[in-house]
Amino acid sequence: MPKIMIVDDSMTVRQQVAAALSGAGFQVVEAVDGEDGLAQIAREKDLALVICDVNMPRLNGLDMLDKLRASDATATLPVLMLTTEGQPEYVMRAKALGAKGWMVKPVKPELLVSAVRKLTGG
Amino acid sequence: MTEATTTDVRTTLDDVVSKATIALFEGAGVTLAKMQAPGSQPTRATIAGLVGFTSDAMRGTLMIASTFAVFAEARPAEVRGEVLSEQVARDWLYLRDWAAELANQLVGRVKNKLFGLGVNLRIATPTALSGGALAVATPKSNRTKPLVFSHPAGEVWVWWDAIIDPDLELRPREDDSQAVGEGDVLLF
Repeated sequence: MPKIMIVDDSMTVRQQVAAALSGAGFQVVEAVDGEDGLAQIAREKDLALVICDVNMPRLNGLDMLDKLRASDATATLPVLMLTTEGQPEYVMRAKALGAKGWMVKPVKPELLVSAVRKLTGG
Repeated sequence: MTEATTTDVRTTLDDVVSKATIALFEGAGVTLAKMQAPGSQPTRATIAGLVGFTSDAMRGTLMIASTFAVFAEARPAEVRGEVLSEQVARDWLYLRDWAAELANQLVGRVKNKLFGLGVNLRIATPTALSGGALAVATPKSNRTKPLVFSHPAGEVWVWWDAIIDPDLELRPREDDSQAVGEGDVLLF
């Protein structure tokens, strides 16, 4: 069962994503912001994908992605951004940092599950 | 730039924010209807989400306020089955969290629309508050009027309280670039 991490400062969004993905057979772990995400990624084994918000306190999602790419241990960890941001400059920055995709909220569960299946082969 | 042009900008903003609010709640299965503001203050709002924004031409705060029942009903379908109670402190915590996220999603919709009209907003992180009967401070811009929407479980009040550069004109971008739409997915 592929393990997915959702990083979002909204508990309701984390619950929604977790419900949608666990219902589709994925294992889900949660982090509350970019700093928490990095700390948990360092401890978690076998993460198949990280789904990450952009605007978060302490460390935003794009800066978190930048730090993941800067470490050999996490340079190739797949990351899907899930955010309210839709401006091309943000999307292009994420793509340049090696993100695998960009989803604009609100979460559409069927599209989320489809995207996660494509990105994890699950 | 004239006073009339600033009024045009505010009229456009009210339209953008109104449509974004209705669409946001519609996406959660909640139908709102725009109504005339019954006054300057809500009378039953107990939860509000707030988020700041800024840009070269516009800065201010978005606030969305309503009742416990409306925010509970507007939760995503995946979590709406859990019944919440006004008697349970933890449930107020859930709804403050959701009100902050709704404010975030609403300002995001407006931001994406304004991007197409030449304005690049930067958004702060949202927050929320709750209380027995929320009252709102006088908007910083004396031209800010609340947008009010009706729902059986309570009115939804939205303020786009912005100081706007009098030289701002909203017009479609020359390069036709658009923001990625709500609910859309791009895989790279």
